[in-house]
Amino acid sequence: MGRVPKRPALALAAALLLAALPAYADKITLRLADGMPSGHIIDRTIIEPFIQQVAEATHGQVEIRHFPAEQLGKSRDMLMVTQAGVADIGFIVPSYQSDRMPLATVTELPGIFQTSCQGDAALRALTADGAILDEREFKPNGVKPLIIFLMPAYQLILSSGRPLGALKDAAGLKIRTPGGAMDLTVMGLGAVPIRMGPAEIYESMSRGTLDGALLAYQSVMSYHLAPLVKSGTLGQDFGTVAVTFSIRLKTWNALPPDVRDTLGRVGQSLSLQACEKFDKAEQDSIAKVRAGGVHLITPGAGDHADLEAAFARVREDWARRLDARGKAGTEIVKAFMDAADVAKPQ
Amino acid sequence: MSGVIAAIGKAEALLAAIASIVLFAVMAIVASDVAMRYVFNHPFGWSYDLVSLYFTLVLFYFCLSRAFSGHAHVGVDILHYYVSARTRRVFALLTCIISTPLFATIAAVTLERAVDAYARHDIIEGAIEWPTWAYIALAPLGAGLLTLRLLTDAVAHAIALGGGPELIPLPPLARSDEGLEGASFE
Repeated sequence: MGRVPKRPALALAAALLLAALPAYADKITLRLADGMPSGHIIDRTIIEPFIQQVAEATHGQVEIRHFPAEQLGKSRDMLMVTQAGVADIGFIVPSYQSDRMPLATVTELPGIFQTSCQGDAALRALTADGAILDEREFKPNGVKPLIIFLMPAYQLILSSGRPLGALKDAAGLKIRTPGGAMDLTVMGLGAVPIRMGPAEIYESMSRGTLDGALLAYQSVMSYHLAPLVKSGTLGQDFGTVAVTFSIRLKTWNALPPDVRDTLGRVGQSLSLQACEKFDKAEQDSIAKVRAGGVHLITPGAGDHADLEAAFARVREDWARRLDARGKAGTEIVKAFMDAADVAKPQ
Repeated sequence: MSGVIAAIGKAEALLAAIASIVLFAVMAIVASDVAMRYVFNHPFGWSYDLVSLYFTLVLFYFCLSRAFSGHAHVGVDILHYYVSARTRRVFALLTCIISTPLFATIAAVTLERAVDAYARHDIIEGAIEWPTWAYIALAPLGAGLLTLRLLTDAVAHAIALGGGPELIPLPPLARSDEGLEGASFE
């Protein structure tokens, strides 16, 4: 009595082992690669919560291993890194892949939306399943956006000692852009656009080979550019870049349906929260650079009228260039402006 | 066989000469850009992209095969001091056999990418619309030539080991007389 026979005990142990095996076998590890330094605002507000929430929602079944700081590839190569399966989820910024995703750089066009949340909503409408950017650029490139949002509107920041009284003072300066439509905006100011990733700005500014950049102030803080920056604009919309964390379609299709649902749900939830978090972070960063002695200017009424006219020319020029190459330039500008109108704050 | 080796040598010399001209062009462009920027307040908008997208790749890939055949690459030759000339030739043959698939893969993958980019008319959006196939194609050109060099060297070493003529000399030993004589790469 009370003694467990040997055979049933063995059978029980075997059953327990077998029950445990499927859970072990089903464990899924995904590699997430990005190009930002650890501690970057996107890292803190998007990536860390994403990894944590996915692990919690799947009860540890899905582990996301994070490779920051271009460990798996340059920011400019993230699409290729993801397509090749080196990473399962990649930090894919269409502006850095403008050869493969020209239409998605529409967000770089200046003067289209007033708030980040409005811009985010417009972008989500265009990248939803079956929408124009999903069908023409993400799917053909074999990726699916899980998290997608816009950085706050980029401002013109200068490391050059030249005083920035008005925007025409930027003429002749070398200004970093992510490439694409922002090149045209910088040319509209009479300056020379230099295409480079954000991780290269510090070195170029400190050597004096770059006079300034189009960038959000939170990136100024994240990339430790504040000690180099002497002046910058406030309240302008020089366009911005769309940031996506996109999963390789082959990986996505191989995942169990419940894991796909969880990834999609957590990604969408973080995408929806992004604009408010980034707007707040931008205000905090502006306060910090101001306290650090950076001279911030709000362009005057004359500048504003000139800018509006220049921005309209940039939009037309950009759309015409794409149309000429058989891409839907005019169509995507109209679609983005319409979606921004629908999402306009009341 | 010696004709093939000579032809590859000429191709390497041609690419290395182009790379030398490009190196001078980089210096001239950067110097002119600095002058235009600080004297005329009108820097070039194309210089950074031209140098970083195209010229840097020319400098790397066009010198790849010439650097190998000229023994200008990094090589660990500690064991070479303690073995016979025949064993050194076996080492050289193994180096070629191991390296050939690697550079052949690089050449094949980048060629596929270049053809794809050309077919899609991929360009980098911006002030100047740079075609991407043109700089991607530099990689298969350089890696492809190195693959040919490795293959012919492997065959030449095998012929020498089989008792045939020494079509290519052994890599010189560092700090030896032959090494010092051979240390005049370009």
